Amino acid sequence: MLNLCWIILGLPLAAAALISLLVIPFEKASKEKDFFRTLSAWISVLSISAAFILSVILFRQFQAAQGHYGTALEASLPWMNLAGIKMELGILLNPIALIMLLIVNGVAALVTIFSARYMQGEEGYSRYFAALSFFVFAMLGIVLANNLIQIFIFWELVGVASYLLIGFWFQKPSASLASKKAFLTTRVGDAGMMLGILLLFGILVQTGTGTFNFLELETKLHQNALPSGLLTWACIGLFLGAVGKSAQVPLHVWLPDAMEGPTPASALIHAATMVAAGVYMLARLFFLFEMSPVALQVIAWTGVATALIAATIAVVQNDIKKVLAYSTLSQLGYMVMAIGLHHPEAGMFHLVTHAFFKALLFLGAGSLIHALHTQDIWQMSATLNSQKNAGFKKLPITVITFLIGTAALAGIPFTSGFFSKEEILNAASHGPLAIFIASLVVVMLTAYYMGRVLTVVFFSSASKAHGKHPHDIHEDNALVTLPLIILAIFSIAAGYLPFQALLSDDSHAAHPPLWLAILSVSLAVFGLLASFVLYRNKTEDRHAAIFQVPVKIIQEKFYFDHFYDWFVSRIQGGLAIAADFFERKILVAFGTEGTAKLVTAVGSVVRKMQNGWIQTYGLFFVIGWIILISYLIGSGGNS
Amino acid sequence: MIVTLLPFIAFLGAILTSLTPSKNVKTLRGISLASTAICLAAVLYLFCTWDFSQSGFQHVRAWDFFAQAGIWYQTGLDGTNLVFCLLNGLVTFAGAWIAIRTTSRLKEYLFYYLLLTGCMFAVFTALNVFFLYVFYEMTLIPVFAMMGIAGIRAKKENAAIRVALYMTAGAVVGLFALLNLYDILGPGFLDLTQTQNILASKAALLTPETQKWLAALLILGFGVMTTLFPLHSWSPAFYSASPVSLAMVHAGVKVGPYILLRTAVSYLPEGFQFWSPWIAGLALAGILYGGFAALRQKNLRDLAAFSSISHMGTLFVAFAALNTASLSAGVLLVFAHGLMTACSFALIGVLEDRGQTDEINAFSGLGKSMPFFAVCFMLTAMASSGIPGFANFPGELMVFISAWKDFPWAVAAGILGVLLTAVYMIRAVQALCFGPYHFASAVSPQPGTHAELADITKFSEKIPFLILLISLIIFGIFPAILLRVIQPAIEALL
Repeated sequence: MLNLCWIILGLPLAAAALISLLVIPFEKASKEKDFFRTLSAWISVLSISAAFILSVILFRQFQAAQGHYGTALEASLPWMNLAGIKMELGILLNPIALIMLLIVNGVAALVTIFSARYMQGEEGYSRYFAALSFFVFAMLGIVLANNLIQIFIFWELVGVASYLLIGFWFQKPSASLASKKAFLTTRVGDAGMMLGILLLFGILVQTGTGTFNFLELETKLHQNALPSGLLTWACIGLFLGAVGKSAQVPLHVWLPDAMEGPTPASALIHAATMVAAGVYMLARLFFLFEMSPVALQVIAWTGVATALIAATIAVVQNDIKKVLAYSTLSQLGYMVMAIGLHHPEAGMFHLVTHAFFKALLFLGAGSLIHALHTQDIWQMSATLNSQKNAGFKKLPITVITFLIGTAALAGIPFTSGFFSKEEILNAASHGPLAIFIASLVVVMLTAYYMGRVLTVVFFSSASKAHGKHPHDIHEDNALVTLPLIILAIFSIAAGYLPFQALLSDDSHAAHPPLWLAILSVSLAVFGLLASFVLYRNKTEDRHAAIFQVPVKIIQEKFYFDHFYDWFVSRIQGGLAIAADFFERKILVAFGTEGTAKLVTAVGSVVRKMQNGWIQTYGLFFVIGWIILISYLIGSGGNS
Repeated sequence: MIVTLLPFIAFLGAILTSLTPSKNVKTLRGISLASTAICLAAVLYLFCTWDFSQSGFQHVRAWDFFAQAGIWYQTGLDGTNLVFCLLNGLVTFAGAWIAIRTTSRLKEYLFYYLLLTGCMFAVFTALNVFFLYVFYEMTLIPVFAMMGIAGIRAKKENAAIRVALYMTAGAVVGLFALLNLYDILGPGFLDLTQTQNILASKAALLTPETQKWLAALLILGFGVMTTLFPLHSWSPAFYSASPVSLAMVHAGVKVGPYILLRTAVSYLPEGFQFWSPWIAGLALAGILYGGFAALRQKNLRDLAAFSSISHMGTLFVAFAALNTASLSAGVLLVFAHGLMTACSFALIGVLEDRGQTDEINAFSGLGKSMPFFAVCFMLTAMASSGIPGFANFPGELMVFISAWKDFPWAVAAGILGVLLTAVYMIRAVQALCFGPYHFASAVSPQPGTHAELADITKFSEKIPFLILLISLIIFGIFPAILLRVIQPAIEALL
């Protein structure tokens, strides 16, 4: 079974290497550019699809071998071994890793197929597929990692891959800025993660031998009581890594900007790779976080704050991808919150269902953007609704699958999102009251902002005809629609897949109570209806007119970006100015220059020789030294 | 025997260039490339045939020079020198491809380049403190000469004076300490293969007080050339004036850490230990100071210099921790940092070739017009900012882990330093490679209209980058190849 894992990990890497080292150079040299571009797409699609098929086979084998919640298979190769500090590259296969393998490879395969059509005509077509494959490889490395160092390594590689994808249109200044922001913001989290790893290792060394291996770590944690104060800080450090990659408050600011990347890449970032990494890490290392109640509280409150803040911001966005981006933030907040409330299985379950419906929504948005040539919901509305029901007639698959995705996101009964959201709300209902209330408000807000998008784009008829004429609008070919259909099926079916038994060990876990379902569904329906009433047949945003001041704050996204801009220009910039000033005005001016001037004044005779004086000087300098040393040592030896 | 011949291969090359008429450009270039290539091949041969069953020095040969005073010309290698020789071999070979394109006084320049290469190999292969020091001092001849021949005119005098001052001061202080050691331990002190024996028999002669002060002198003296904060100020001036291939070798192949390992760490362990907290403090200051100063730099050479100061701070954290793991990782770090720095100076040279400037803001959007350059620049930036997959990452990681126990604050500063590196490197990458194409500099103001800057297209021009980057990646993925050579040597030394 573990051999299969190595192959699954190796396939996307091989694809990335093959494309970037062989196909792209040939493409550059050749005139048949289209041939090589298609080849890149095929390599990428085939390798990732193969990885998915192997994951399914692996899943069947796992089931056949009676794998259950506690099963953990491990294999590893040594990487570095220095004076007792052992590092390895390994694989740890347990149920949550297995489920993540399926999700990552499954969603990635569909996204790659979609991209093969969507990205056609782009100059960097091959480069895109190389980066995409590398992205999948890095994510699989996180999923399979059996130790902290390895997870950190792939953590960084995910950051690099996302940098390449978000900055794909690198000549566009906004894409360039967004990729920089994503890379640096998540790296702040990574620095915290590194500190957490060092702290944890330090604690372990004090109480015996240090290790980075997950299984050994788990055994050690159960054997010895570790000092809880330091352990809490170590957990918070590790959690910072998750805050960065899973875009939790206050490091969430990169994710909405990451929309500058190609839409399918956004789908991948938001559904299966990158942002999933943080939540996955929290679940994978739950045995560690569990040891520190304080850290869990920090996690829960961070999660709920993210869920609430992001949902609020999503309400006022006019760009369809931005709405989806903030919705991702908000849903990730849910997952993190559930883990903080001792329910990692609920968080993981929501991660799975969310992967399908968010990938679906993003690819659907991509399809809409392709057809309508705009990302602005009001312009979309204007184009699409100049003729009655043009959306359903011209883009039936896109619209219907988008509706299914929205239903799942809003938690409408019988969709997958309903089941996972109930689990999360159930977890919240046993937590502090404030968290529970906030998570219910998020249910309502989620339904409201998605309802607003739907109403404006699909269910309005108020706009005048301008922009693209409706009869130009048409559905793209099967490479685009097929992934949509498959994802739509899973957005419903994922709620019924046999994952839950693998995610938690207590089979007698209480099902969410009926009252909770009724409450949450009524809130969702209320949100949808409210948006429908407010936005039916409207051509512009209405929030600003109704509540002025709060909307201003929300439109400025609670001033997080302002704060960071201030911090970077004042604090970081200030320190830089100080260092530079110290160097030029003090160290150089008084230290070197001062002495140098003295020397030059004395040596002005030598200076007259100008050309070649430096050599002469060097020669005399060295010869003088050699004579001096020889003399000194010689005399020392004789004495 | 190969070890002994190593420097002389380069010296022979230097002699051959001096015998060749300066009109025969092709021959001159051929000699330089061939002699550095043979050196590299010899080092690689030594590396591949390394005997892991032996823990001490290998290939030891000695010639009587002035035996009475303990001065033998003795050569040989342990794991540490081997890695430094490999670094020198790789960087000088890569640099040779750039040196051969020097436009003014090519013959002289190549002569001194090969002389420098030979002296560096001699420093790393000599197992006698006398020769170690003499060859180190000898490197200054070619350094000054190359600066005079091909340095950037406006800045070179100032830079040369600064370097001369700093290096002289450092060398005097270091020499004073070495002479004292020689006085105390006797002629046997000079033989680096006998360090442990000498210490075992004469340890009593080194009182803690003596150890303390001699260690301080050695750290200061040889810290200067390793850009230990606040003794680093020569480096930005020097690297902004020196010809590219000189900057590659000088900034890439760091002699300072090697001499510190061989002298202060191995002869004065207790004295060194005493200063550990101070070293850690200076390291912390250097990391942050270099990092923040780098944020303000507008020229690529200055950026590279301050970045290097910051990274050398991490190396001093390794020195402060003073254990097998930290010092082994430190050697790995010097190796990786050397390749990376050499590569960045080579890349800066490419820009200067084409645009006559190294101002960051003069260029924009090179990703489109110079894709090969842009990819190399991005990879170098990644290596510098500690992305896994490049040799810098395992080096830094191991330093952090092994020094955490003793100096958590210095390590935390190191982690912040990595973050700062990411900030200034990514800024440079964005400014140079991203955005719409644009080139306009104060030196050659021809905005927009003229032809786009040409990419690196010829294979011969690509070679140095391929060598350096591929090595960084190989040793980044398999750092154990180097560590298992380094570790036994460090163990023997501590």
